[in-house]
Amino acid sequence: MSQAALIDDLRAKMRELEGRPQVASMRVHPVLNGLVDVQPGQVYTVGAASLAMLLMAGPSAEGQWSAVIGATDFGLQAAQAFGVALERTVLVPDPGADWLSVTAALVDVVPVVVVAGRTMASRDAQRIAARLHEHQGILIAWDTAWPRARAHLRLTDVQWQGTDRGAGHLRARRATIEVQHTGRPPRRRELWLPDDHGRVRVADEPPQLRRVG
Amino acid sequence: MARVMVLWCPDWPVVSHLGPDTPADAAMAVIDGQVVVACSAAARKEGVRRGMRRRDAQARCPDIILCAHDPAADARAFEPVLDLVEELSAQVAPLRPGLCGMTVPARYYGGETAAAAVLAEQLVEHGVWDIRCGIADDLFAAEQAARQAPPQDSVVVPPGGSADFVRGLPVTVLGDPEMADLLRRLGIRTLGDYARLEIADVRTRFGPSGVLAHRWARGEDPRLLRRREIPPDLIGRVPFEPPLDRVETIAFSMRRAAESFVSTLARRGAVATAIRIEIDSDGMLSHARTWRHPRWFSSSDIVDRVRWQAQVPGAVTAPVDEIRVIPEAVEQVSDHAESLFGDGVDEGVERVVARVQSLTGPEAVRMAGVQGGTSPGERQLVSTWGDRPAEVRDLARPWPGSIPEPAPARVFATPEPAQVVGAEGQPVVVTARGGLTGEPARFRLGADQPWQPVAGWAGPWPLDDLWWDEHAARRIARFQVVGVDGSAWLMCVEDGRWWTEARYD
Repeated sequence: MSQAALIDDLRAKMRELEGRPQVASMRVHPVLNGLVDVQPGQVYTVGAASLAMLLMAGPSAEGQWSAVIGATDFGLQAAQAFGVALERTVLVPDPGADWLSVTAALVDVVPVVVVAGRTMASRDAQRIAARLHEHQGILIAWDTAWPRARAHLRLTDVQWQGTDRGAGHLRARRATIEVQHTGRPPRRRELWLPDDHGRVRVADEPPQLRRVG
Repeated sequence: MARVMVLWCPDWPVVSHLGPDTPADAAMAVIDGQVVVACSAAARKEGVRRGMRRRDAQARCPDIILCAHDPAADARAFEPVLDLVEELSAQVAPLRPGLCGMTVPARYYGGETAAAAVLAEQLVEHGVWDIRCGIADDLFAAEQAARQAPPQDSVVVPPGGSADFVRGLPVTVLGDPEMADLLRRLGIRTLGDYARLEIADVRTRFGPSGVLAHRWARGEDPRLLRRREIPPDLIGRVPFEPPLDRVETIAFSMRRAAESFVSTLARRGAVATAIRIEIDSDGMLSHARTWRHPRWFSSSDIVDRVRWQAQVPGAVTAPVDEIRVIPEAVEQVSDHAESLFGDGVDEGVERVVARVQSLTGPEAVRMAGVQGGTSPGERQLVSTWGDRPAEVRDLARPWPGSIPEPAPARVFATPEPAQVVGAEGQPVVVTARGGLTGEPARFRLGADQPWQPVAGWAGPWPLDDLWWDEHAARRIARFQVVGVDGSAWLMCVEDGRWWTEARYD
């Protein structure tokens, strides 16, 4: 048994002793399967808006609500293309001085909360994390350093395709997603984000062919 | 059962712009932005249509008179018409400028057709010459009947005949282009086809608005006529003696009134989905506003709205001596029963949103959506939570000059300055023909950022209708710029100055 698996096993035993129900992982977008385990009550930091959308997409497709706090530049059409249900999305672009109370209130009810462009004081982070733990939602910190986040997701080796010295237009992006779980070696996977047809898929997967004739 | 009559003045936005010195047969069009929203019959004869671009309309009809669209002015111009109708019928419900409904005062005038004729005569006498009537069991069928009537005449749908009447109409009359397009692709072309769908399927696929449209197609419009005159016992009146000046005290004193307002409605089996709150100070109306609710108002919702409205800067300058809560849209609870168990906003979410709104003000919480437009910024549809967005541009329509997908993940609310230079460091600007003076070689985002080589670029996408016009003052176009670090940007250049509008993050 690897060390990581052992720790997970011990954690599960601890939860049993605490009398909490076993928490199932939240659903993730298929391209993130086996790459990041999204567990209720945890914080995930992301380095790009599209990664925040990718994390939102899984729960949102299951009918969950999400909220985006502090982002005036959240691209709604892109979010929809990633699979975020906009009709179940609450935006608070400028929470002003009350952003901590706003975040705390939303974390109590909305299962997926995105916080953008903040510097987190460690005390505030603890307060939010406690409520998050109690209500079993996840928090996605985009462009925001968060102490003791469960994993950090970022894009490396980004290559846009489709432009040719004025001709064409941006069509597809190939990038490596790197997931750094605390205390584990980073996991990487090459993705199309999106591919030529606007789909998000794993890069080394051959396109699905349909048998004809 | 009360029969419904709808009066329709076609092309109202045009009619409301007709001055005393404008000839009635002038070719006129009302435009919103660059798009025609209404045109006169003379303009239509020349080939001008709704949804047409301004320059196309001008090309077809060079002497066309163009006016800017002003919905508020249209509504004001419709008020005298409502007054005229009100002289003959007690209950007039304005539906939108140019369209109003009422219960038919048939017995008094000796028949439905006769009543319509009397009304038309009254309006024609006062200068509204193009007026058409439709009479049916429900509002939707009556409106469709009015649209089929010749000028100064009426179409009467017999009692119980609404479903038969609307059966042959195309699905586009539902007024939801997106849904109509989808239905057409599903092979459903008429309301009769749509009415045959299972209600459960309609709900899963189209949500509450689809369910409502389904009832229209079945000839049973649940919408009640919203009367202009509200029964005085439904208005919640709260006098303050002595006048109050603290928001919290006002909100506290509103509580019981709000509860009795809601329970008065509930006794009639109704709920309010839109209310108007009027605040009086010094014996005068100092602030009034209409609030809508995605479901319906509970008593605490009403207290919240009063509190928010009292906090609007400049709304209350003197102690408040009376607040009135007026139901603007009332619906039967039974009409909501279909949606009660289906979609609708999650109640927990609704409550937490109300809590956040009380912290930050109502405008801080937004609903998200996508609408039509050429640039990513235009396609963002953000509206205050609970308010229906006023005007939504159709996404399905072709938008010439629009930036192709994929859409950028970050769309800046205000463009940020950038700099783009050629290989020799010379500035790159747009030529009169919409091309570039040189190839972009380096760019930086703001004066304090490092320069970065350009790895790829695409464009231009013209921004202005007149971009090819050498004499046009504005030379403005959009470009996609990719840096060697893999970051991709949507930039816009105007008069040699570059801006970043969005990031493909």
